Amino acid sequence: MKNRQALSSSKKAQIKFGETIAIVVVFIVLVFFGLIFFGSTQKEGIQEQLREKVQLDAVSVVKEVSNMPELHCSIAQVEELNCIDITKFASFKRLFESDIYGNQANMSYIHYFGDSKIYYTQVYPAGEPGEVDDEGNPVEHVLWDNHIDENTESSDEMQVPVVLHNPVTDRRAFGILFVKVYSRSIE
Amino acid sequence: MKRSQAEIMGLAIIVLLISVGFIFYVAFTVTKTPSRVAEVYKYDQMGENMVNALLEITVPDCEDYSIEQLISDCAMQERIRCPASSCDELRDVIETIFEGTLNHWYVSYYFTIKKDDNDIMTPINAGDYNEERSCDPENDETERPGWLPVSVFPYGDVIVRLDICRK
Amino acid sequence: MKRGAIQSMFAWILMIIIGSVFILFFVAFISNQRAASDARIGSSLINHVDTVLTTTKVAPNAFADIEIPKAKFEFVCEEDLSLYQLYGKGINKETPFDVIFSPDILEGRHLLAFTRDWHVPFKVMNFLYVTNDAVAYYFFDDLDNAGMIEDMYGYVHDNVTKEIINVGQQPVNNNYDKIRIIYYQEYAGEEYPLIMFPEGEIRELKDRQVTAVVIRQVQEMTDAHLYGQVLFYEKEGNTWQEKGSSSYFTTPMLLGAIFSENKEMYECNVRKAFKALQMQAWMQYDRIARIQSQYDDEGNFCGALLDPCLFMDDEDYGAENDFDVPDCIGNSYHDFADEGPTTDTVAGLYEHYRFVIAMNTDLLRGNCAVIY
Repeated sequence: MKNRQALSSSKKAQIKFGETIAIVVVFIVLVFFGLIFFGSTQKEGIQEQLREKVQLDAVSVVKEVSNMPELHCSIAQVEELNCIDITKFASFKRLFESDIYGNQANMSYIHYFGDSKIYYTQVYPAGEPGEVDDEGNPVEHVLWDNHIDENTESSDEMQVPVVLHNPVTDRRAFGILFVKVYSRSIE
Repeated sequence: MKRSQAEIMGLAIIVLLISVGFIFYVAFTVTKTPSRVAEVYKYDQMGENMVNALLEITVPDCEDYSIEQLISDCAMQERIRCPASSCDELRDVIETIFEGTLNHWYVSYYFTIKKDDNDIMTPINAGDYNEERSCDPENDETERPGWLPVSVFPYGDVIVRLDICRK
Repeated sequence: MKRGAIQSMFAWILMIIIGSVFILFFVAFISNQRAASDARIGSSLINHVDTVLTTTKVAPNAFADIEIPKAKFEFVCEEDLSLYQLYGKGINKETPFDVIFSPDILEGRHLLAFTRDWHVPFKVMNFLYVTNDAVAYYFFDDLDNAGMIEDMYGYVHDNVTKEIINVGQQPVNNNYDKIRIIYYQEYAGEEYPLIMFPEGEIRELKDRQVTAVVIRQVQEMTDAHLYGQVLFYEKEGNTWQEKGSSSYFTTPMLLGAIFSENKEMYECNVRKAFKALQMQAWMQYDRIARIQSQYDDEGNFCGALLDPCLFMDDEDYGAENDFDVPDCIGNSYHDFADEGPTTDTVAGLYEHYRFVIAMNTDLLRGNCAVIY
């Protein structure tokens, strides 16, 4: 009788212990899943912030480029809006390739342009020599192309209508300035 | 109620609370709209940038007269001959530009040049090229328009206006 | 002890152990999240300030009043380090090429930023000036300054805490963190008069809180708006102690001296501006030499009006060219920028400034492609 009682007591204790362990296990499982879910929503939030940052960067680069004295047209210190002096553009482009200032210019302007591609095409007059390639596509006059990593996602291409002024002939063509910003995606 | 039943009830309540919290969190996260900063900036500035640039360009086939000068002439006496008239040349150039830009980007737009509320050139509507892109600034939602006055002394001002519709 | 009692005791022990583990886990998690949150907030604040400064910096004569939660910003400009950061937090934004004239520490709920464009006479860049409403600028007008003090006062944005004080008036301390007093001295040969420390409550302030800048005309008949010398002073007891002198070229740079904490920060930013000028000089040389070459090929008289050597020496330009590189004699913008802000440099830049203005005027009259 006493043995039976002892056995029954022992079983009850084991059951009770098992119950407690089960509660703890269930709780840990819930917390675990909770953390995984929290982590994935955090990641989603960070990716969204990154996408927004890429877009903000694109707008920032457009503003920088649109206002750079290295590019814009001016007469007697009066700056013209939405205008690129194509002789300045060409010299600016050559600066990056120059022996004396190439490296310094790249280090300096990457601070403003970052991982991006900046170029213009001429829309009107259409089909001028030097403005279209053999297949009839507009030639891209690239100022800056720093797309260094294949694992990047890009912003939409920002397009800004601009006047392309040739100060030697005083002709003004219609062009589009393109800015595309790249950013690393999160895996 | 037996003790074990009370314990199970307690567990069930905890699971229920966590589930409800989970549902609220998901609902909040899913309904957040993604950022459209770049797109908003692009369309907000587009009308203004387009008109600003358009007026400055020169037309090589017309003795390098500027668009602004052609608009003036078209509004007044149409003396300039390219050999086409200033009004015809104007429309030609503007259509070429819009073909390579706004039409290419599937933008919905409505472009007018008016003097005293009268069109001096037939308005250009994106709907002329693609019905889905038709723009009616009076009834559709629009972005900030681009517009500039061109002085036609002494007859007043001609208003060049580009409306971009949200579609 | 009865079995039930032991069982109960073990149950309690188990609960305490498990409970403690959970509590420790959550406390560690919360601490971690809090640190991450602090870093996120700090980073977000720096990004916000950076966005506004970037937008402001690209436009000439722009102004921004940046509202921030009460924070302490530190601006650093040294030879190999240029940045601004949340003081003591390690969250920073590097500014290796931006010219930002500011005090070293700014604390409060606002940052005030405005720009002025730097022309020499062609535009090089915009200078950014950053301060807040806890820094006061007093311009001392002794009526003997050819309007210089009034002009500089007007050149500072109206939202900055500033005032003109006349002879007999004293700067007032309205709980400012810093006070800067600006003086002007006309050319006086070898003997310039001593600057007297003001009377009044300003004497009660700590030494580091009160500084001065003296604008000095370096030659008779020169326009101090265009170039001159600038001296930096700090309060020591009830006197001014000179902490160094430098030079400036044009008003935006002089304004930079007024806003900079000290000579070192001023010259650090000026060196950045001169580096930008050197690259601009290269571009100007390249552009003008090619345009000149094109004009010469066409037999156009405009070619004779252009002189790329004002901007750079043909040897410094480099070998890769497809046009005739002119023979250049004498110093150029590029050479002067190499030397940094000395009295001779700014005088030399001023001469080039005049030549380029004259050249540009001739080009405008001749309907030729202009420099600026």
